[in-house]
Amino acid sequence: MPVLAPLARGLAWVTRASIGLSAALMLLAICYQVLMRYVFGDTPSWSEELAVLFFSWSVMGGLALGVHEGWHVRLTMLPDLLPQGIRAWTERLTELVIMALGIFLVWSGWRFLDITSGSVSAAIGYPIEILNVLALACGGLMALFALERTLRPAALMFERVEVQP
Amino acid sequence: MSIISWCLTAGFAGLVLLGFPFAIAIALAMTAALILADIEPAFLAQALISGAQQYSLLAIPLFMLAGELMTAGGLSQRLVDLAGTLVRHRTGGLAMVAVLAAVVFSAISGSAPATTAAIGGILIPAMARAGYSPAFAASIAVSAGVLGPLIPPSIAFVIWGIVAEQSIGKLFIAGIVPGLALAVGLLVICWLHARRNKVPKLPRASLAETWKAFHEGKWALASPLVVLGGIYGGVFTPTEAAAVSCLYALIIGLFVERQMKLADLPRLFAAAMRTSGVVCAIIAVSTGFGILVAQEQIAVRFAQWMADSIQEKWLALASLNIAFFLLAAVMDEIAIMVILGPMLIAIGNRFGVDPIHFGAIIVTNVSIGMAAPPIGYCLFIGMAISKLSLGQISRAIWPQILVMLIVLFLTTYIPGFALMLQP
Repeated sequence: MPVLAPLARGLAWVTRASIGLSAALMLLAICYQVLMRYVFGDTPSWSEELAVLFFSWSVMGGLALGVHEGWHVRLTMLPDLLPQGIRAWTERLTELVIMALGIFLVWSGWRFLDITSGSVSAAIGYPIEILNVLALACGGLMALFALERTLRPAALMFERVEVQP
Repeated sequence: MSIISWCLTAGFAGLVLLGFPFAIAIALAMTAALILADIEPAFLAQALISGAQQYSLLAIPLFMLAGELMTAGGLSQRLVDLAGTLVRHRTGGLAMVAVLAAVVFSAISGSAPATTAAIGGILIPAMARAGYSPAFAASIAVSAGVLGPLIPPSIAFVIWGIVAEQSIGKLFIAGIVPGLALAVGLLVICWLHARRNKVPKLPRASLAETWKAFHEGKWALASPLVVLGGIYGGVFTPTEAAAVSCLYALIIGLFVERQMKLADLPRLFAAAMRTSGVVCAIIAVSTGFGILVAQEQIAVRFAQWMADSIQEKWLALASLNIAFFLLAAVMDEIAIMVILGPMLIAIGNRFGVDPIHFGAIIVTNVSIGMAAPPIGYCLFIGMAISKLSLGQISRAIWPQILVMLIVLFLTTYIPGFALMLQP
């Protein structure tokens, strides 16, 4: 599918950028909290909840992005014993199972959204759907990224974006 | 065993062996349990969200970011320069610089990979130029990185504090003595290696040079004081300390040292989030896994079985350490700590080990795993910097691993060793 690879690359870029932005906003929220508490003696009630919301996206976006970039920690001792040709197919099978997990997470997230709809967060009072939709988004991205990896040619099957020290 | 227990134990182990990433294998094992036991499917999403909603976890990406910012802002170089003026003229002086700089850097970043990258990036090439074997240079940077999780603040202690529901502040203190003991052991190895291999000494720094290094390194030296002083002075929580540490590194890097540009920030943020994402994804997914493990009483039954098989506490702790060391040869250390957390805690409770002392034992094991062949994460960073093979560094690192095992022995069997500084 010629559309899938650019679409996955584009979504991976957006996910990566949004995670970086979430980290920056999370940092700002906590620094603001410390500043307000110790300089102005007035602890904001919203800063911690907002920081945790941004962090939640960084975790769930990261879980999905790790599938696209292949940087999740794994043990490849047994798969490495296989000949390259067979290995590519077992890798595709692995990605297909991950895709199935992504689809299940979308369903699970959808049900969770349904069960909790109408609630609001404890401190800020934002609609809880803003938080709970993240699991659904994570599942959708995981499924798409895994499908894209499944359809890659064998030579690109093991492509991994290295973690920068 | 129930079908859920089978999914969570044999199913999970099978998926890991088949090459599924740990975070995915946990989620798959959980999903299989939900489907087979007809549990509400929303549990997976709920567990994932609640796993990512733990405020203390925010310290992990923030400490990783602090490490990235310190290195990019030139503070790591300042620490190395300062340590150099103090000990470079001694036998093994330049290698000792790596250890001393790592001690201070550990008190900022709390991460073994960040410490190895920051110190190794500067000192591995410098040590090789000064006459040390490149393999030894890489191995000392890798083993000095191990100080990262032991000397507070420590990401590993933050994670264990969350898993075991213990005070992170008290756990931090429990790492100080093992961390400093390891640093002393590494200094002795530096001295012995240089003496045996007749590595030439460097000239002693003049008083003016030392003063200049202190003056230029003052911002880097002040950083641990801000972080640790803030935590133990009751000014801020470990998570807030991590944020303040990032802010401090940003201000110094951008406006004082001026070695970092605003344009560098997206890259540094992305790198920190990616490194921490590996760990945080496992922890978030493990929350639901932990709930099911507790519900099935797998951990309690395992601890009971162990207590029935092994009567003596010392033998149980020895078995635990050996099992951890062997598992760390095939599995990520943080993953071991998080996934096996409930079982480890049950064993600790069953044998009456003080929870803070037990935390020190676990994190010392985690730290060793970071540097131990064949899959210690710091080894790969050492390989990337030195361009040496895993075999070359692995052969050179065994004396340091031995010292780490001695520290683990002391931490395990002398509770007062790790608990010495507890208030």
